[in-house]
Amino acid sequence: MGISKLSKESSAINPSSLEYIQVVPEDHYVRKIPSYFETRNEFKIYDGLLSSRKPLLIQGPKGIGKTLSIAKWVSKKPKMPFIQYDCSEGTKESNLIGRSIIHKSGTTPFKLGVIPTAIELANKSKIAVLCLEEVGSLAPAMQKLLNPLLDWRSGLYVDALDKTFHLDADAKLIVFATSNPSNNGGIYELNQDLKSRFAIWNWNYPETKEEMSMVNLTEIPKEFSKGIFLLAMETRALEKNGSLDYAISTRDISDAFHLYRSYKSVDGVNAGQLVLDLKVLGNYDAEDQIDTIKSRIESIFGKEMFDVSKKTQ
Amino acid sequence: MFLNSDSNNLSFEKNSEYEIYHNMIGIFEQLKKKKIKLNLSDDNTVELENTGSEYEIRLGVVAEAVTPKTKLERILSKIIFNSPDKEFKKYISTIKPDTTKVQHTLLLKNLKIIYDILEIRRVESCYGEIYPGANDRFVDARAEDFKKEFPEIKIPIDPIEALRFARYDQMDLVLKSEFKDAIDYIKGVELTGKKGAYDLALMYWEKVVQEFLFRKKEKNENQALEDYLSDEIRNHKSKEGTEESKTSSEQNDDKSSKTLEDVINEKIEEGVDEKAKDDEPGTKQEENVETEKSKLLSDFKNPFELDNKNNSSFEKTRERLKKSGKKEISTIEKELEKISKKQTVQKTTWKNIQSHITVDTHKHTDLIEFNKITSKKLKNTFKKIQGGRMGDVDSTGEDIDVDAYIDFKINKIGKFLINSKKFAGFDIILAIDESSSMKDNMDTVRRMCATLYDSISNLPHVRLTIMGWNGTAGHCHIKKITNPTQIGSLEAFGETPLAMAVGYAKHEIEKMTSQRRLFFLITDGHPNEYEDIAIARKGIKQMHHKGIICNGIYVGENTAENTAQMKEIFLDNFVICENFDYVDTYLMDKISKQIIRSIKKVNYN
Repeated sequence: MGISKLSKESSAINPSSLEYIQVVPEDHYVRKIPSYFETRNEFKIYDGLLSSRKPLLIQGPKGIGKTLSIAKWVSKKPKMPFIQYDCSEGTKESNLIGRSIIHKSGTTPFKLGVIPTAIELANKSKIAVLCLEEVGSLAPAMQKLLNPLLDWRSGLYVDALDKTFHLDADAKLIVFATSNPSNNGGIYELNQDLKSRFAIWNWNYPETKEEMSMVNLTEIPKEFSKGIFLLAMETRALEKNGSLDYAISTRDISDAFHLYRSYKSVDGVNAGQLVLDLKVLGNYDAEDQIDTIKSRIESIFGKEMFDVSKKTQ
Repeated sequence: MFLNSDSNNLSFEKNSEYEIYHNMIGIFEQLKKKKIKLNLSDDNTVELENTGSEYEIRLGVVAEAVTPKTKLERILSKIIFNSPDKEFKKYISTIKPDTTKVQHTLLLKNLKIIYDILEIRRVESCYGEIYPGANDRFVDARAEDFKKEFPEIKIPIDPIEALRFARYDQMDLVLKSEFKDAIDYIKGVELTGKKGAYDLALMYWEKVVQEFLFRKKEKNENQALEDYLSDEIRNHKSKEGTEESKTSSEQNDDKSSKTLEDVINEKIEEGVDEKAKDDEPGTKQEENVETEKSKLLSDFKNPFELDNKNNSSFEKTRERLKKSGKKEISTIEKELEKISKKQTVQKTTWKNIQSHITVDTHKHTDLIEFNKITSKKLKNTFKKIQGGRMGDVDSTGEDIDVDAYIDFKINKIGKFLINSKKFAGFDIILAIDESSSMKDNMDTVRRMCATLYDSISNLPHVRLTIMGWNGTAGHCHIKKITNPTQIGSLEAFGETPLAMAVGYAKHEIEKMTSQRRLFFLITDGHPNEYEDIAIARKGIKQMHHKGIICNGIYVGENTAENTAQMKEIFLDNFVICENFDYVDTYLMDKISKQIIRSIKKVNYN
């Protein structure tokens, strides 16, 4: 990222004299993306956004590939900058709009926040993709800052710079946002005014059949994979009725199988037990929940899963 | 490995026994879309009652070779695989064989035994197909049950005994007997659908038992048959106590439908009693009994036409039933998949419930009398926690927004001091059940509220919100009391919409800004719908995760059922108040202790 036209004085009183760090589209090209199995015709729907330009909010539980699908789609498009921002309760105006920073050169340039950065990238490349992760966790006041970007205004006024960042007429900025159901995320819900600016797509856990296609089953014994999928279904059902705080996601399953493959040939390690310990039991803190999940593991995989004498083979 | 498990056995099942059983049941409740009530008892019984609208399981938790979890899973397997116990009983009661009443009773009795043996094997295998771990336990349990039931190893001497041996996986012993067919039937009933045991039990009677009886009858028309049947029935009788888990209705049936020998003896005694009036007593009477018995047994004539419709062979029937079994197992798996994706959460979101909630306006009434001593005690507690204000910037400088400070230094605009924070202080929220059943307790509730209000007066950082709730026709009415003059408007009527009340309370509490928030739910009844408990529990958990301290107060009898309900919603954070007369002192004491405990907890964290 380069700095151009840095202000000569570090304490300029006139905001318009303050320069900002220029964005470089090449820095935002998507690089390596893990494999992704399309189950909802996502890519065609995302392609449609190129003409509709309507922001899209994808709502669904964690670990089902919301972000990955977007990144994968972007990776198929040549030279399309992708900017991804993880929103949180602590996201401040300075993160979204920008702030001055102390540069190692001794200057104090203005660093654009995620919104003007996305606009600048789109203007330079004529197309860019912005993905706001967990947008529901933003404080209501921060959510308001997104409004002008998402409607007909397609721009944002930055008072520190006394400048309005506008999307050029020939430029496209595709805005995605993701969100978990309100019970999973932070303490805020989406403002109605922000919500109304999005097209909303609700995702759910995939069908087991699809889920099996989404993960790599190579070298995974059939009984073990079947058990993991069943356990995942049970944790999801138990999470829904409030008995467990954590449901095993597709990502967890994929990671579990990856771990299994890594450890299956290591001497003295029972890969199945290790995976269940690290990728399943490890997700629970409360004693009653640990016991519940152990009990379900026992019913699915058998009691030897808890027998120390059989832990190492 | 297994960093979280510190034992080499399944002792974790003892640590959170209730939670584990309950959570298992939670899954099956969702699968069946029916309430399953679980009552734990300190014995080794296991019973299932199906009332139509719900299932009730009584589970003994005494440690035995066969664990309560295995027994529970056996019962649950009957529930999810639609055991047609009632249908079978109904069907066999319609059989009108051309026999005596005694023989008819014998038929029904033995058919039921055969059906029970086959059915338990069927559901175990179907459940085991989905849960291999549970299946392993079922196999172990069969071996244990066999040892308990037959301490001495022997070869089965009749077809029903052979079937029972095969059900307990004693195939070697069955193969040595003349009833090898029993193995085929046991293997045949595995992984079959709802009618698996139903059809095969009838077929087993017709093709195996009946054939055996005729063979026997032909062999020895009178005495031999009597001997055989007496032995057979004696065997059955001795085994009934340890037979597969039976529903309580079945157990009642067992009491009413006596064994053949009992029935015969009774009938004979009736007949003999009449004759005995004329005849001399003693040995002659005994001889009469034996003669009558032989006569009755010699009348054992058959065949019973059990299943005219089904003339197909065993192999064909088995194939047909296996096909339906495969379908049923995959249906259960699909159902499980469905519930794991079901958006039940959406039902409990504020957006979804707010249209069903009306916040009623209420009149100002006269002030309610309160307990001054309790109020004074509570005031002292509240003073400790009332909190105050922190300075603009603390000594660590954490209250400067560094980014904003740099901006300020450069641009000379903006504020970098983070607004002063309020700290400590308490919000206390009391959600009071105003359903009609609280009618007798409303005066005491009002007095309790008035006492609480007085205790927080002049303490600006302790805020009390009282929320009365009740419901009519799927709608929840909320009465929000924020002033002592409104307390008198609390009145009892309507239903108990627990889930919506918790949803509303959660929404309100989350808006409150104090760092310490304490929520009490006071109720005396069970919710309108069983899903309400799960939804309420979820709401309570979510509040708990956001640092809100939640407590339940149950007003009513301290029964296992009431305790279970409260435990389900609040885990251990509840009290049961049997006598509302002591509410002023008892509840206040609990609230006070709870607050002090909460302070410690908050400070510790």
